[in-house]
Amino acid sequence: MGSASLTGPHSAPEQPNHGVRALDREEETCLHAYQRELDYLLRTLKRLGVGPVDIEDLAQDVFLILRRNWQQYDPTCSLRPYLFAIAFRVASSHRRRRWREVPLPVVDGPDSALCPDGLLEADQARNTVLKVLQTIPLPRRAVLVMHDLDEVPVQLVATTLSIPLFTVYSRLRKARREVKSAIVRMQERGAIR
Amino acid sequence: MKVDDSGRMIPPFCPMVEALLAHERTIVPQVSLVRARALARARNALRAGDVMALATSSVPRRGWRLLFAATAGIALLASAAAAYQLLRSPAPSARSPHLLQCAQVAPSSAATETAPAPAAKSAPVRAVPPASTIPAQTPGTSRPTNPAAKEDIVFEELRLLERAQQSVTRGDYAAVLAVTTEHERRYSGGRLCEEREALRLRALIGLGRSHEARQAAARFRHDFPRSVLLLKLDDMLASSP
Repeated sequence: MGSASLTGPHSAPEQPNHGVRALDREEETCLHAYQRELDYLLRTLKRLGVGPVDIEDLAQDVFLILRRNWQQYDPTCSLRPYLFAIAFRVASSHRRRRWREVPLPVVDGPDSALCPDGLLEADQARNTVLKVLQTIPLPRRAVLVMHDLDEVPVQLVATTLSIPLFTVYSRLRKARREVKSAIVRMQERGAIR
Repeated sequence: MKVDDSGRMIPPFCPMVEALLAHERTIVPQVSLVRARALARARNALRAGDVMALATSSVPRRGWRLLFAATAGIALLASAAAAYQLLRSPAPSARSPHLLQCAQVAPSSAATETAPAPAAKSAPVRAVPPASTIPAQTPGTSRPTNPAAKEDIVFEELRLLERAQQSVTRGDYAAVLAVTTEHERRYSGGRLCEEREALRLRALIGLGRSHEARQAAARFRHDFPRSVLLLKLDDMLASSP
């Protein structure tokens, strides 16, 4: 995890202070942490099937929950599993509200025409993984993303998602099988080489 | 829990899949505009001081009350139906066989997330090797120190306990006991011993061995005081004759 400054290249434009209060130290710390992990959070929401239209709204929801529970967060631990847990619950709740899963119409990314070969290949690979992830039911996808992509130990996956270890392994095993099947299907359709 | 149709382990990810996943593990920075917008929204929410108000669920309060009432109603109906079933058919096989499936805890609401445990990077999990390649673990045998080998063992444990789970589904509780005993013999300090003991308890209840079941439950409660399976086990004990 990097330690980008709030005044770094990615920082938000400073807002005019029209009678609104300044942020206290805790709020600044929380905002700083959110800023540091914003790319991860947006990617996680995308992996969890949140469409481009909703992604910023849900990221804001995650931030608000993070801020509200900031005192419960142990700063000696990595923020990512904690953020993932919030993101997973927000994404699940969002999906329940919508009643059905809407597949990503477009997996957006940089314009591949402008990319050098290596970047293009990496970009295509990431898009392929996102498409594959959309084929896996959310509970199993969450376990797969946490363990196989975020490289979180299974024990911590179980704790974070509040599920038994046995269930984590079962879901992981099945999700991996689904990844493989999805890729085989895509290969058969010629979507990937 | 659904099991592998062929009863075999998962084949390992092929190198191509591993390469795809490796690309996805790298978090690519988002477009600056998206970041700036998201951060501006977050900062504005903080400045407005309305985090507590905004952080409440987007489901209206009235909706929550209705949802709670509906859930309570369904739970009452389900309890009544279960009690009726038990009174009508006291045979062990009539009870729900899906101990572990039922015991899975659904993710709680967004408002009740728990604090995470310390995170540490781990080696990617290797796929499961054939059963024959893993030697049986005898009590007292030192366990592998290689993390990947440990995970292999866990998948082997998982496969064994899935057999027990299948037997529970069939109502073949004697087979469940046999498998859990075999698991205990091979993986005395295994990572899934909590699930094994839960299955054993389920089998004892299924076989009508209530006294042993209660003793096993007491041991389980002592050994795993924070288990997420405890509630389910209590329910099973309460419904046992």
